[in-house]
Amino acid sequence: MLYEKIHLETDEKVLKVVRKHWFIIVTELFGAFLMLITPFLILSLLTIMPPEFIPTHIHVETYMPFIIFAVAFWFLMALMTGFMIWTHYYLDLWVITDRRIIVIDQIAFFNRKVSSFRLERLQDIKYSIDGLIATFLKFGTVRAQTAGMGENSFKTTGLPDPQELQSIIQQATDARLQYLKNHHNHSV
Amino acid sequence: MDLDIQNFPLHNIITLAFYAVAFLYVLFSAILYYHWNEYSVEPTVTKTTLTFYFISTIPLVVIMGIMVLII
Repeated sequence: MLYEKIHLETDEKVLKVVRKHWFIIVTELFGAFLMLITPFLILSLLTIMPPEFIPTHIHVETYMPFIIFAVAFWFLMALMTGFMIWTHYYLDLWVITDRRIIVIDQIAFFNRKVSSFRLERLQDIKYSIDGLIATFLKFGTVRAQTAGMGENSFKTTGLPDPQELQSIIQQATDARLQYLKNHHNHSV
Repeated sequence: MDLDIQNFPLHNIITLAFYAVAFLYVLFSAILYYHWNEYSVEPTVTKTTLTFYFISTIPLVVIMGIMVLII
């Protein structure tokens, strides 16, 4: 499991695990749902269609195995798409501990980006809520800026309650800095 | 040797399509299983997701297989 892979330090506590807002997954799964109900929609259209538009020379019974094969194939593809979306949603997360932040971007299967930075390196944490739905449902983009060379900015969109997340990270950073300051004073 | 499309039996096409779908399904399932076992943080969610996935998809593959036998 992931926590063993991350190798949490001794006494390191996980403060919060954050995934994208439920609205994001619902929006993405809606496409798969539409795909799933398409055969039913076509069937409904055929039943309400005037009889003169339906070719009478085609015996549905003859083609029933083909129709069942095609519908089963369609459902399988829709379900696989749905599970792929769910997997990407669930494995994409922020893990906030009392020492660091681990940002995991599950972009696609075999395209995964894991970034970890220590709270004492955090320079700035910003959030933005953009749009009507995002404002009502309280989700937005969180950006974390760290000191140092290389990639020093982390951004994730669609995170729930970004204000609370910012507050948790800020408090954890303050506590960490205080701990390091006390530890340094004791050792001098 | 040229392939005569006009006389190519429909049963063979459906059978080939089924083999292709079955291969894709096994490959996708293996990838999905690997990702959940390797990267998930909650074993209960992993178990529920994989159970639901196999319960909902295996019957569809079986139905497709039965239809291939009927056609």
